[in-house]
Amino acid sequence: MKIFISLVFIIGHLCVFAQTALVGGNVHVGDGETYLENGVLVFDKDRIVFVGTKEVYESVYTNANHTQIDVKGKEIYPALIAPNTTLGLVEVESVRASRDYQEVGAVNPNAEAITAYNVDSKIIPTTYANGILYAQITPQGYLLSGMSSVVRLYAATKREAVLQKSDGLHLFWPQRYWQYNWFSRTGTIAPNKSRSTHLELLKSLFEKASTNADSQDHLDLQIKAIREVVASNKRLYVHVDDAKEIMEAVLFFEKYQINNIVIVGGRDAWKLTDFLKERKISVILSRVHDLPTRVDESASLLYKQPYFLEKDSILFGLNYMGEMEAMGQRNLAFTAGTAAAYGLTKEQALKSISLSTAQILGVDKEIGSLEVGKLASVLVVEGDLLDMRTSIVIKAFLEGKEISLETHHTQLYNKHKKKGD
Amino acid sequence: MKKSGQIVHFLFELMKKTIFLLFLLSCYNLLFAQKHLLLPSPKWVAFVNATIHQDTSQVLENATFLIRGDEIVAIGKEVKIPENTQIIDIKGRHIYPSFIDIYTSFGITLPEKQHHQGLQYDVSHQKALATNDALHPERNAYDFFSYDHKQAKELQQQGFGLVVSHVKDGVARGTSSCIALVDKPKQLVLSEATNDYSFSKGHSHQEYPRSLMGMISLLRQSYYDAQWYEENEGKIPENLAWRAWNEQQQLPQIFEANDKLNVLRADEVAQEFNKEYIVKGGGNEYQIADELQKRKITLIEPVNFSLPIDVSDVYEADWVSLKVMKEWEWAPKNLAILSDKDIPFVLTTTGLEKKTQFLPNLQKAISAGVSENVLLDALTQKPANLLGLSEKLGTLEKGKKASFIISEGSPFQKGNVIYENWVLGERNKLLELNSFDIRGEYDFYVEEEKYSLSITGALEKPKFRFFHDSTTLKSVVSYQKPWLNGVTNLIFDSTRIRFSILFDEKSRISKGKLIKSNGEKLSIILENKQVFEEKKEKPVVAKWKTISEMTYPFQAYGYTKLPVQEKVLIKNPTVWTNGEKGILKNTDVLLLNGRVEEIGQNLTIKGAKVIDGTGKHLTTGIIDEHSHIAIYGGVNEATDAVTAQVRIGDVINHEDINIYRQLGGGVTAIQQLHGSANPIGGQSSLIKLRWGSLPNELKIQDVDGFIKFALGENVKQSNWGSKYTVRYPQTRMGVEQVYELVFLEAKEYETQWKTYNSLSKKEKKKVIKPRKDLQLEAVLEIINKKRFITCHSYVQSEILMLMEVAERHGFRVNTFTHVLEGYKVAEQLKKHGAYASTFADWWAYKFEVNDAIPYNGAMLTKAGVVTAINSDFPEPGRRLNIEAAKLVKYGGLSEEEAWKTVTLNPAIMLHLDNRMGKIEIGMDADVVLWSDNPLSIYAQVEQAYIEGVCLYDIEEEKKMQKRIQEERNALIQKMILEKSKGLPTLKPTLKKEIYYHCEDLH
Repeated sequence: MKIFISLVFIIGHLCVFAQTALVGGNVHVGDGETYLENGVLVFDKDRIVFVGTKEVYESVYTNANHTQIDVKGKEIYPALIAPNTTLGLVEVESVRASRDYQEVGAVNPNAEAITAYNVDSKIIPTTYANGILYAQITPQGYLLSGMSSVVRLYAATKREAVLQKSDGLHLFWPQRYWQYNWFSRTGTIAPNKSRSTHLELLKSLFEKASTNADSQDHLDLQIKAIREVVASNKRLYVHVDDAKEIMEAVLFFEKYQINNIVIVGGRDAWKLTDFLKERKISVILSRVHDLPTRVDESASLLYKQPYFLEKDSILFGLNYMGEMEAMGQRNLAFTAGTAAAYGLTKEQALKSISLSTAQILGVDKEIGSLEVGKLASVLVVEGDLLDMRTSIVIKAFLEGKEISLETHHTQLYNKHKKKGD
Repeated sequence: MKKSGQIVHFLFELMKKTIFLLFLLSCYNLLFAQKHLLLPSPKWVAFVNATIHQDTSQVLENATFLIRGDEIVAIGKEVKIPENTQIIDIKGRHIYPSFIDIYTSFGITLPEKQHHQGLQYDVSHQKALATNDALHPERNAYDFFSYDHKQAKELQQQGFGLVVSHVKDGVARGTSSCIALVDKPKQLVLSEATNDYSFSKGHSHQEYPRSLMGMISLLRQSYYDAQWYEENEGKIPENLAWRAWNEQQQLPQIFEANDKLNVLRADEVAQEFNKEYIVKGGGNEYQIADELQKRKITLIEPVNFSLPIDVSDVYEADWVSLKVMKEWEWAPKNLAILSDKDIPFVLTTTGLEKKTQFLPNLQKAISAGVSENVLLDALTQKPANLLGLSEKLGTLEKGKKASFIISEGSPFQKGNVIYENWVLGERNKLLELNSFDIRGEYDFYVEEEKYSLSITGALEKPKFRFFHDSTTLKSVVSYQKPWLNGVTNLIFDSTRIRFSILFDEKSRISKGKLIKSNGEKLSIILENKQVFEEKKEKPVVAKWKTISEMTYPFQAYGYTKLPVQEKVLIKNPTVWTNGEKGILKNTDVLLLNGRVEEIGQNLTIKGAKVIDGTGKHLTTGIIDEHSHIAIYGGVNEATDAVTAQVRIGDVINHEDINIYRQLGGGVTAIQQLHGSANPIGGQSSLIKLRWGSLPNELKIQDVDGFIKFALGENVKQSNWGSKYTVRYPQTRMGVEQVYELVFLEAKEYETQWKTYNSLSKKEKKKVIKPRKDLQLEAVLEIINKKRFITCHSYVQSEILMLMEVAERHGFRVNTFTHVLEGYKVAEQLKKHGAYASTFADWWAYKFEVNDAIPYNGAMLTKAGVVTAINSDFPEPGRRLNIEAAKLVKYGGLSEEEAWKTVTLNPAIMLHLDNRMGKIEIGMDADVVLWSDNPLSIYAQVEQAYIEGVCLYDIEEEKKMQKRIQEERNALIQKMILEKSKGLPTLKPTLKKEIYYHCEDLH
C-alpha cells in the first residue's frame, strides 16, 4: 500500500505535475495596471511560480524542464470571479422545481447557498467558457437571505467546489419603496408597508445576536448564524441601492460594530463616495448593462459609475445581478468592457472582475490576479477578453489543470452545424 | 322664388304662433283651474342698482334686473318695475349668468360592480344588448340620478346653476342628463343631453378588452356594429343597445380622454367615423397645443392643478422627475395657452378633490395669463352652445332663463364672495346679501375691568381674539345672530367663564351676561371702538411666470426647438455601406433632403454642415425588428386567443425616454410589436425614432402591415399561474388548431362578402348584409398577402407547424422572431422563405429555451436565412451593436455580416430595404456616426440622423444634461418658496417607468 502511494506520488511529480509555462502571450496581471507584452507565466501544480517577460523568463530558467505551451500573440488573463450570483441555484428560471435560491420567509441567515449548489448545472460551463472560473453563490430574498460561498466552477461535488465556505451573510435592506406585483414589470411601485416592521425585526435580531451567547437558546439557528457574523470577521453583504438607504444601513450596522460591510447594488453609491471612503466600504456594483433608475439621469449613468468610484478610490467589483442573472452571467466581462469604454482603463476594468472582487470577497490571497504564489487559474484568450469581437477563450486552467470548454451549447452546435461551418 | 319663400315663411310663422296661442290658452285653462292648488303665480323680482354682466362684453352699471318667475323680463337703466314686485337693492354688487359644468357626476350613483368568480370571457347578461360589458349605449343618466343637496350647494357656491350629469362607466356610456341645480320638478332641463364614450372599461369584469388598444378596437368595432344594425334593421333581431347607439348620434358626443395623447387618440376615432367629439382633457393639453390647433377639437378642461412637491429632502427630491416639476409649474398656464391658440374649451369641476378649489384655481389660471372673459365664456355661453341651450341660457338677456349669481365683484377675483345663486328663478341664498358686519375693535367691560375683543377675518367667517392689555386670552367665540356667545379665561378667573351678549346691530353698545366658574353672575358691556375696514385685495394679475422651458417632448431631454433637416457632409469616415461596395475607408457621404445624395472622395458642397469623420465609422441606423418601447396602456391584449383587431399604432407613446436612449445607441427605426400572450396578437407599428415628434409623425409612411403571432409557453399560459388553465389552447396541439380554425373563418368571411357584393342593388336589400369584422379582416389580409406575420417562437416543432399551416393556406410566414431553435430547422426556414429575428445569447429563462444557443444567429445566416438580432427589451435596445458583435464571437460571422443583422436584415424583414438598411445613393439618410468600429464594445454613438435630421448628438446631450440640472434646481427653488409661504405641498413619491416586454400581460 505504502509503495503504491509513493509510486503514484513520484509518477505524478514527474509527469502530471511538471511545471507548465505559457510562453509568449501578453499578460494582464489583473492588478489594474500591469500588462506585460510577450510574457511568460509558469505554474507548478496549482500555484503560479513565475510571471514576467520572456526575456526575464529565459534568464531565470536557463535550463528548465517546463511543459511549454506556445501562446504567442494571445492574451493571458486571470480567471474571472462572478460575485453575487444564483449560478447553480437555478436551472430554468420559470420552472419552480429548478429554483433553489430563495427560502420562504424574511429571516434565513442560516440558509447556506452551497447546500443547494448544483455543480452540474448546464449553465455553469457557459460561464467558464467565457473566462469565469469562480463565483460567489448567493441566496436571494427580501431581508436576510442566507450565507453565500465562493466556489470554483469546475468541480465534481459541492465540497470540491468550495473555495471559501460561508464567506458572508446577505441582507436586503428594507426599501422605502417596494414594487408590488413584482412579477409584472408594470406592477405599481408604492411605499413599502412592512418597512418599519422589518427594521424593528432587524434591530431585535442584531441586538440579540450581540448579547452573550451563553444566555441564548442554542436551538435558535437564525440568531446563531447572525452571531457568527457579528463575532467573526465574516462579511455582511448589504443589498441596497438608494443613497439614503445606503447611509441608513451603514450607520445601523456601525452600532453593532460590524465593520465588514460590503454594499451590493449601490446604484446611488456614486453620490456618496466620501461617506463610503471614510468608512472603507467596498461595493459590488449593480449590473453595468442596466438602465438608470430615473428618467432624468443619463442613459449611460451605470456605464460610467465604475469610473466615478475608481476616481474616488472606492474598492468595487462588478457583477451581473438582475434579469437572467445565472444564464446571462457569461456576459460579465463585457460589462467591464463597457466600463472601459466609459472612463476606466482596460486594466482597471479587468481588475473590477478579478482582483478587486477577490479582495472584496476576502479570497485575494488565493485568486484574483496572476501573481506568484496564487492559484494558477489562468485564461488564454484569442484577443481582448472584454470585447466580444475577439473575446474567445482558447484555454482555461483551473488551479493548474486545464478544463474543457465544452458546453451544452457547443454540443448542440456541433450536432446541428453543417460540415464546413 | 325668394318671394314665395318669404310667403311660405310667413305662413309658417303664423301657423307657429297660432299653435302657440292655442297652447297657451289651453295651459291657461289648466292653470286657472288649478291655480290655487298647485302653482303660485310667477313672482316678480327686481334687482336694483346692480352691475349686470350680460355676457363677456356687455356690462351695465347701476341698472335694474327684472325677472318674473324663471324668466328675465327686463335689463336696463330705465326699467319700469310693476307693482307688487319684490325689490332687492344690491348696490355695488354684480350679476353674472350662472355657470354650467357639462361634465359632472352630480347626483349619480354608479351601477354596482359585478362580482365574479374566476375569469369572465363572455358578457354577463342574457339580454338583447351589446355583447361586451363595457358597452352601455342604452343607459340614461337620469335613471341613476337622485338630487344631492350637499353636492348642489357646493356647486352653487362655485357659481354653477346647471350641470350635466354623466354615468361615467364603460367605453360606451349612453346618454347624460342636463340638470338645473334646483330640487324641483323643473330640475330636468334635458333628459338626454349628450352621448358619451371613453377608453375605460369601467366596472366591466369581462376579460376583453384590457389594454388601451383593446378599448380602441372595441369602440371601432362597435361603430361598425351599430352601422350594420342600422342597415339591417328589421331583418335582424331587435337590439336595444344598437338602436340607442344610433339614435344618440344626433346628440353632442362627449369623449372622456383625460390625457393629451388620448385626446388625439379619440380624435383619430372621430375622424374614422366622421364624428365630432367634445373631449374631456387631462389639463396637460398645452403640451400639444400646436397639434390641437390644427385639429379643431372642443375640449372640456379640468382645473385640478397639482400641488408643489416638498423637495426639501435632498435625496428624495431626486425621485421627482423634471417632467413632474415642469407639469406643476405649467399646469396653471394650460388655459392661457389654449386660449392663445384659439382652441375652444369649456371648464369642469371634475377632477377637483374639493369643489371649493374651483374658483381659487381659476385665480391661478388668471395669474398664469388667461383672461377673465375667456373663463366666463367657457363657463356660460360656450357650454350653453354645446348643449343647444343658448336660446335660454348662457347669457343674461330678456326672455332668457333667470339663472344668475349675485357676487361682490368678478367671481374670478380673490375675496369676491357669491351671495346668491338663482337657478331658473329659484333663489339660493349662500350668504346674507346685506348681512351685518360684526367685524371691528371692541371694548369689553366686566364690571369695571376693561378687556378688548378684536373681530377680523372673512365676513362670513369672522375670527375672534380676546386680550387684556397685550396678552391674548384663550377663547372660543361664535356669533349666531343676534347672539354673541363665548367661553374664555379672563384674568380674574383662572378657570372658565361663559358669556352671552345680545348684539345690538343698531347701536355701538350691547349688553350681556357673564357667568364665572363659581356660578357668580356679572353683567357685561361691549362697546364698538372701530369699524372693520376690509383691506382691498389686489386684483389677480398675470404674474405666474414659468422658468422652465417648453420642450418637445415635455420632459427631460426634450428639445426646446425641434431639430430640422440639414445638408450634411460627413468627411472621411469608414463607411459601412451594407451594399456591394462593402466597407469603404476614408470616404465622404453627403446627406441632402433626407436622402443619401452622394458617396465618394473629396466631396464638397456649398452651405453644408461639415462633420469630420476621420477615424470614425459611419453606418446606417440600427433597425430593431422586435421592440416594445414607446407603447402606452399595455403591450398585450392578452384576454382572448385571437386579438388580430388591436393595433399598436393606436397607442404610440412619443414620450418614452427609451426613444431618446436608443437613438443614443444608434437605433433609428423599430417595429413596435404586440406582446406574445396569444396565438394571434395585434398589428405592429413601424416607426422612426423621431424624438420630439408626436405619435403619428413617428410612423413610417407607406409600409406593409405586420402582425404578431406567438407560439409555445406564453400562449399556452404556462407561466400565468394556476388560475389561467381554461382558455383554449393549453398545448402546442391546440395552438395549431386555433390557427386552422381562424384561417378557415377568415376565408368564409371573405366568401360572404364576395357573395354579397356580387348581388344587385335590389337583391342586396332582401338579404342581411355581412357584418364587418375587424378581427377577421386582419386575418384575411394575412392570407391575401397584405399583412405579414412576425411570430414569437422557440422550439423546432412549433416553427415547423406554423410553416405547415401557412403553406396549407397559401401564404408564407414572414418572420420568426426569437426562433431560438431556428438552427435546428434552418434549411426548412430557408426553403419556406421565412426570416429569422433572434437574440444573441438569451436562454434558460424558461423551459422552452433550454436548447437556445448563441450560435443560432451565425448558423442561420450561414444557412442562407436572412437573420436579425433584436432587443425585445429597452435595455439591450440601446446597445444592439454589441449584441450583434456576439455573432462574430459565437459562430464566427464576418464583421460585415454581423453588422447587417441589426441594419440591412431587419430592413429586409420589414420590407423597408428599398429605402433603409444601406448607405447608398437615394436611401433614407438614417445614419450613425460611431467613435470606433460599431461592433466594438468601446464604440460610442456621436451622432444619429434620421432623414438628415440630427436627432442625437453626444455634445448636445451634455448640454441637455446641464440644462436639466439647472431647470431642476430652479424649479426646486420655486417649490421651496411655495412651501415657505405655508402653502400645502405633496410628499415626493418614487415612480417607476413602465417598460414593456412581450410577456407583460397588462
